[in-house]
Amino acid sequence: MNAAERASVIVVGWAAIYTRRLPRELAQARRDEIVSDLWEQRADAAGSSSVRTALEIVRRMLAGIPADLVWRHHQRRAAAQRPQRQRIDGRWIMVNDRTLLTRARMRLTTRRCKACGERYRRRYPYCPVCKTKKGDSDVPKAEGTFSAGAF
Amino acid sequence: MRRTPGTLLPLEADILTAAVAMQRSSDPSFHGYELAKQLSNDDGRRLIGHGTLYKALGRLTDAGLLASSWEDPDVAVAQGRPRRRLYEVTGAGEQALVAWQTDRRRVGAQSHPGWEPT
Repeated sequence: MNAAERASVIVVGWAAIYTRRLPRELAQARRDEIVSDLWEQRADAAGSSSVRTALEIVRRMLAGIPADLVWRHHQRRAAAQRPQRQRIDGRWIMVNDRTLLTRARMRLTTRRCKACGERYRRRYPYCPVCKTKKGDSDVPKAEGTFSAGAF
Repeated sequence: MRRTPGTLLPLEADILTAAVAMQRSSDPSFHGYELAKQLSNDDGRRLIGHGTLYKALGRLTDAGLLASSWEDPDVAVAQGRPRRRLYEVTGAGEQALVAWQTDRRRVGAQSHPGWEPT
């Protein structure tokens, strides 16, 4: 393996790093394109100094790193916004990361009333719909009977 | 660099200019390294970075100014090399380039009366 080929291995390694956890087809396409570019450059430089070609290959990689990182960021963001098929409450629906985040936050900050089935904020002492106290599913609290001491 | 919608960045205009020149002189399709080489020959600079080149090509493809397709693997195998991703300038790409060149001439004429960029 000559210097230019070793430099190509470094560039392919960098491409493998910045395409990690991206959609598989997209990552593979970028890596294939880089491999092709490196091969073409080495073929174009055949007959000239391998060390010089290697330095040029590494220089191109270094010059492109900021763009690689920006590209990765955009692709990650696009992938996160792309809806995925998820099974929620027994139904298959299309959701994206924001939907899942909202759903998780709702689960953490609210509880379902055992009496009427409605969700209400955990910090409320009773269900605002049916007035049942939390943890008390059988006896609905009559409207207007909370005393100050109950809080 | 933040883009104004409907305009080309300087690098994108350079890519389209080089691509149109290559299409007129030889094969209508080109691959990434071929374009990098052409850009380097045009302005006498060193070869453009991989990330910069392929990010710009991706943007132009997403905008419909370039069309891309992967070469037939059998052709690449027969020639003993990795397969190439081939690009072509679309009609929209040529129009965008003409509009960019017209705009640049207009701006140049306003800021430098009597001066016409080549």
